[in-house]
Amino acid sequence: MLSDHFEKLKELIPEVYSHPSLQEESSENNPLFKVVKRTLSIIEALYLQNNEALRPATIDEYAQIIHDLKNMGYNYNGNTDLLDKAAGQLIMKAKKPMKKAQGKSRKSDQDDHKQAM
Amino acid sequence: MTRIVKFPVAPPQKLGPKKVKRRRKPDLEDYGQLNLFAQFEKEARVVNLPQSSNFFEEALQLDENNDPQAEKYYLLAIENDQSREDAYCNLGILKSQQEDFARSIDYLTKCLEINPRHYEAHYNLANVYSEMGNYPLAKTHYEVSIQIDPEYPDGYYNLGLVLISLKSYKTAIEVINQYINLSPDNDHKVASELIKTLKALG
Repeated sequence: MLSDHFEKLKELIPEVYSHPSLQEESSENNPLFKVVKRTLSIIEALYLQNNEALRPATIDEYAQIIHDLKNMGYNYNGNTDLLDKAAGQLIMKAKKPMKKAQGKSRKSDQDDHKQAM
Repeated sequence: MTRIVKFPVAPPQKLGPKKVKRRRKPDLEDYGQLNLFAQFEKEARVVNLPQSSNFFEEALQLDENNDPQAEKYYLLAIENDQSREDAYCNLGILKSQQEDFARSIDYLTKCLEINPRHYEAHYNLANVYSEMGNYPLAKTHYEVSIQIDPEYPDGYYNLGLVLISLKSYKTAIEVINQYINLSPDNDHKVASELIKTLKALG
């Protein structure tokens, strides 16, 4: 039903529907987009072969490239697992820092020893 | 008439200890160009020798000042059996900062070998695992650290972040709420925003 409705709309206001999509607009860049896609698929293949192969910084870059492509009007879904990892890394950047030991363990051990005596 | 004749006697030589007198250094200029190839004496340098009584305290102080010598002093502390577990723990932090995660884990687990209930070691180990993207292990160590010291808020906060990464949003909300209950008021803003976002995610 909806498709019929849109077909009718296309006939009534063809100027709206003849507007090329963002992806079509950037068709002149398509060869470049294909090269980028191939590059990204190489990264994905490396990850699929060994999921320890990529360093956190590489995963961040991978996610950033896909984000940039989307902002430029291209559609590339990417590897869900890698994108999840990148999101996780981004979240964990907000974590609280490491905690140094102050030597209290030894002091408390000594205190325990004294109490025992 | 008799005449007293003075017998020539040399004054007695003083016996006993003899003091060394400072000798004047000969000026080589007086002897031509004998000083032509003379080498200048090197300046003495004052070196701070480590106070062997407390290598750990020394290391901690250097560490606070981001001095790379801290590592050496932590190792000296271990050698001299001074706060060994804490020295291992802090070496783990140093290695993690250098992104040498394997050695960081090695040091932190050595600390746990001495004291399996070392709070900081579990918490820091969890931070290292989360840095490496190993969230299940990070989660376990944060949970253990909370079991050991349930009053320390940062463990809850980081556990909350790990749970978000593992998409366990409901539990994450509970844990971050515990962080809010335990931390000072000025730390609540970000955590509260996080909870709002998580609730929106459902």
